[in-house]
Amino acid sequence: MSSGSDAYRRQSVLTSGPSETMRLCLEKALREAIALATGRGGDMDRLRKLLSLARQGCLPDEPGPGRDLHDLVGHMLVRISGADSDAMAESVGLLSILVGAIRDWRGTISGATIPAWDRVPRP
Amino acid sequence: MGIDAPNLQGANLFQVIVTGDHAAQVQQNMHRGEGQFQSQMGMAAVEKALRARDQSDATDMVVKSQEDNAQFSTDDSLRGGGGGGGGSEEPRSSSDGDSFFEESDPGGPIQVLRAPFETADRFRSTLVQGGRAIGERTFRAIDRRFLAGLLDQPG
Repeated sequence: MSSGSDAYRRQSVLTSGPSETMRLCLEKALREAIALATGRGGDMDRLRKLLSLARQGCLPDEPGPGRDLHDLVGHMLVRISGADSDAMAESVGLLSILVGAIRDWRGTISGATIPAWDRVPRP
Repeated sequence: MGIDAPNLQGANLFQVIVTGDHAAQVQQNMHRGEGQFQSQMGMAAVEKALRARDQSDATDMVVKSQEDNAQFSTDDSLRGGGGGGGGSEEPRSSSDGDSFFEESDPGGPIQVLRAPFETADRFRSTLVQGGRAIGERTFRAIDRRFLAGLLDQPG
């Protein structure tokens, strides 16, 4: 990776909002989980760190998506720490859903901010 | 001719002898000091080399320590649920001042869900239907410096 793109990525990580930071964290965890599940490297410690970081980024104070995300990340932490061989595959599936959900949510927000062409009010 | 008198060349032998003695003493002291200095330099060099090696090891140790903290944190939380370690939460002690596990955890001990995929689907539907405002109730700022450090790692 070039230094320019690396600097851009670092800057985007440090300046993005909480939702984007969470998406990056979960995507990185997803990549680690896929690597571990397929036996192509991966670092279990890094996966745990990322999941712990994602858990830290939830707001589980009241029932809702924050609580669900908090519980799901905790669930994955417990599962991958056990000896169950299916745990990593399950985590890959769950992380895929979570990352996709945040991506869809961001798309929804963008759609609200910039309305589609056919919804633009005409004079 | 006395010793304290100029000789034929005009030199005062007494002064020459005294000056010579003084010079010898100074030189001897210098050698002694130099030896001590050299030994100190040697020790400093050895210490520097050891410190450099220690620093290289210490870097690994710091990383391992952080990783160990993370592991311990997770494991401790797991044990908290199972009763193995006696703790019920991730460690929040002041000794972990540089750790990223410092935030209070109002969510309680972590546990295995019975239907995790249903929970994930509910998260997805609630988030997508909730619009912009729900993001403020779902996510909070995490330690992005730590995330940047993790993203820098290959893999």
